[in-house]
Amino acid sequence: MRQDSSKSRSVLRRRDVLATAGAAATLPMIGNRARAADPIVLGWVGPLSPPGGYAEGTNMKYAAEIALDEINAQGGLLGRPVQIVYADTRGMPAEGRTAAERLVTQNKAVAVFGEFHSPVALAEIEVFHKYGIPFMACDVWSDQITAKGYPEVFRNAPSVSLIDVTIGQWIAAAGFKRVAIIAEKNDVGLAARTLVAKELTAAKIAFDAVDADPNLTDFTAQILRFKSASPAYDFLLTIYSEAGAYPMVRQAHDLGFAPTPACGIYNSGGQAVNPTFWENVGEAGKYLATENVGLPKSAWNDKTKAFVAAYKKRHAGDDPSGAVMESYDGAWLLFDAIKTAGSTDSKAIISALEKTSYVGVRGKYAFSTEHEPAWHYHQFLGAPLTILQYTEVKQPQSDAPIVWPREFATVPYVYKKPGT
Amino acid sequence: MADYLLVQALNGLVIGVIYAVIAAGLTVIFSILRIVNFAHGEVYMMGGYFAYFAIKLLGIPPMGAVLVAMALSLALSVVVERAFLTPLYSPTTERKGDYGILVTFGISIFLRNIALIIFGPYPLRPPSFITGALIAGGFVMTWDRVFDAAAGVLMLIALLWFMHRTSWGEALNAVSQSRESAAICGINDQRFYMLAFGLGGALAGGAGALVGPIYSLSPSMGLIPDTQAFAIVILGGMGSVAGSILAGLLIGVSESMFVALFPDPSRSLTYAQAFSLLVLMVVLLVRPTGFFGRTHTALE
Amino acid sequence: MSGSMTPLIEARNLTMRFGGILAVNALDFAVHPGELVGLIGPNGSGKTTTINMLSGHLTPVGGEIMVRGSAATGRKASDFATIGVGRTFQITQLFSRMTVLENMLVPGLARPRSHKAAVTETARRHLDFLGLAKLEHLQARNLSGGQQKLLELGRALMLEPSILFLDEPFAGVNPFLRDEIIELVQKLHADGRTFVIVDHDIEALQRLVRRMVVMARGRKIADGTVDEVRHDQEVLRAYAGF
Repeated sequence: MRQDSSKSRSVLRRRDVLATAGAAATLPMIGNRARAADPIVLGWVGPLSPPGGYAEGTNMKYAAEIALDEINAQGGLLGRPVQIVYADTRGMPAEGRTAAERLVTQNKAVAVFGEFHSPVALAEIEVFHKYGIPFMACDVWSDQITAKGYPEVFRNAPSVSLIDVTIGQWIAAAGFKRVAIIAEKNDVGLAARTLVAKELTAAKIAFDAVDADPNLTDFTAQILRFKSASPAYDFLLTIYSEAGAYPMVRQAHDLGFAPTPACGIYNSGGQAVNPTFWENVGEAGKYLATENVGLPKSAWNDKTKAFVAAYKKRHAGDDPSGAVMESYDGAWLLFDAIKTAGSTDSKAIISALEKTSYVGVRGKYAFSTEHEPAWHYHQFLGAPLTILQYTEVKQPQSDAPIVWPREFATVPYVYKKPGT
Repeated sequence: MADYLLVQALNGLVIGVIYAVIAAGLTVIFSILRIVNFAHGEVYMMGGYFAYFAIKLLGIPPMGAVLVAMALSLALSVVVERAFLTPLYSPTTERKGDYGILVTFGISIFLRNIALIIFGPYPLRPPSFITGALIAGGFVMTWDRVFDAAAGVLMLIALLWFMHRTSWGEALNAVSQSRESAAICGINDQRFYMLAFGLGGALAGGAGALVGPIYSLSPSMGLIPDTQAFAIVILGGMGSVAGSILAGLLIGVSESMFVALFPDPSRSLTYAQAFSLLVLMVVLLVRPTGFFGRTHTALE
Repeated sequence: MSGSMTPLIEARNLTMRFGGILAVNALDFAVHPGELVGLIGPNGSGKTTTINMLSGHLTPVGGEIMVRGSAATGRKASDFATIGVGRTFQITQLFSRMTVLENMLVPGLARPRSHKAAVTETARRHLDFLGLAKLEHLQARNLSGGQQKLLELGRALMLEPSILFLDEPFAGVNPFLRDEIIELVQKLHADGRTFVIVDHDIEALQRLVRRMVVMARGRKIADGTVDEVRHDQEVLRAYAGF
């Protein structure tokens, strides 16, 4: 009997073991089914309220929403829906840092994209680097963002080095000899000023630069000072991305300083390609030159056209700016990298991004892996950048003549003097 | 050189008139309610938007829209006062100064963000009052600025006339000096708190409506003028409307002249606002109560 | 006392509490037209609190206030002033940056159809009566303490009050001014005004009033002629206790 009971005990034990093993084997599958329903969370950072540049931040968020709807309409990624958590960083580095921490630790974002203010991005990348989370920096131009060499950080927008070298080269090519500069007093404004200054110095163009608080809206006294200078300036370069850009342009025009046949005007920073530009500056915008970090219309591909149509449908006919396109492409670059990697593992996403040849609304992407110069690292070196000059009041940005670089130019001249 | 300085000074006066209107409103509120109104800059901002939409949606001419903006800003201020500030008049409320600061600060954040939601993040610009510019030799000033200066001066004259020549204004003055005395003279102080807050708001809103065409409108446009207004109120002497007017003009002119003349042109614009605070510090060293401030406040 | 007439002002079971302290405890007190009443009591007896309630500066926590038979409990001080209840303060409350004349004109601002010329004339008449006519252009803060008391009285008269509460009018004044105030009050009383005077100067009150009310620890402990009150045992005990 004792033998029988011990035999039955061992049978039971074996049965138990088999049952347990069977259960254990199915558990991951049950777990996978549960995880399959969990969304893949991405984070978006940018200014949605003051003192940040909330106008453009809001537009960039709209672009991300369009991308999100599209990817989920296709069934999501890796069989899972995609969710984007939007964090308002308000143009403040401390807020950016907090938002980055929250996205990574609480929302469990597998990757993040966006941002509009370089100082904020510089704070955010420290957090993403700490946690090893991939970050696609969008409309932030400070060289430092990629120059730090963090493997997690990529940028699909141009850097100041790209932009301001281009501006400086254009100013020289246009034949200006004496430039007045008003630059916003923050990291990107000061960096831009320094880079342009280098180009102007190399081209032996005289210049004077003034720094202005980003919240200012009255520049009359300064413009009058420029206007009274002797010898006279023949060009006003405004490096200003805040709401004050519009009054600055208007005041320069109203005071008869620029644009005139004697003095041209340029606004760098993106405000001049916003939909509200013309309502705010009116006549003053005619003959103003500015950069556009979007793809010129002549280079629009099918994706660009489709996105532009979708964006205009959602947002009262406004043309999407370059920053908006960067945000849209930023989302899709991450979607594509996750798809290619076949996982949400950070290193796999990073590796996929380094090898990407994704074609977005701004053309074909490739991220450099060089470290010399430092800002080249993970920078989209082919970021489209053109300089346009408005020739009519209320001219849509996409119709404005492109004057530089010459390979994209749509007009034979480099600069059109008012009245000619 | 003389022409250049004249232009800069006149331009500074225009800005100074706007500052004076904003600061006078803040002073009226402080002298009656004894609180620092942190939402003043946001009422200025709302005034700008009220005018914009009065023009766009109702077709009211720009000059008339300024009056509409003032009326709506007054109404908004009265609603805020009735809804949030009546605890200030209760003997059971402690630390009334702190209460006023906290509540108005909260209201300022609320208004800024509600403006963002309702009006959108894009800067808006209402049409000019008068297009073109006044050009006389080397002197250039847009007609909008000339109009702003004239309208601002009219608002200030109207305010002073109201304060000194009407029974309501004299009653406000009485309440500002002694609430208890005013009460035993039959003056319903609560009515005048409402009037003071509304009047201060009307002035701020009027200023916002005036600057729309020259500065454009955005939800955060009240931040800098509000900070300037606090400095101006202190400089003029807390509770003195005349002092606020004088201080506003002085700050406007000195900011312009600083930018015009500071030897290092690369720093002139950056330091201009710091300079106005320097003016404040120097004046307070010589005259601690500001231009026309009282040496002590009345005991309640 | 005209017992059958409606009292000008009446406190019924009036109570006031400050935190845990019962400052006025179930006070019944009525003043009829034409009376001249003194209200006395040791420090902390609730006299000023009572006046503050009866002039609308404090809202009682219990009881009622009637003015000419109509309920007035909880109404504001400015309302009491416009329905004929005037008062002065222990520490004078003037508009210090206004002139003497301007102070006198402030009550006229509350009246909907006042004519400035008529009001000014009335103001000057009162100032003349009070001996302040020559000082009409002086700022109130530049007056002496006694002159400020007279100005406060004059300003209270501008609202043509039916009843006047004077809170310690004799405090800190010299004997000459005290006599002057007594004479002024007597003249105004003879003209038909009703007075309730709170003060510690029993001697001055004895010359002035016919009826004395005594409070102690928030309660009314005596109410009668000066003689009656002077010999009241409870009154003597209340004062001896201090």
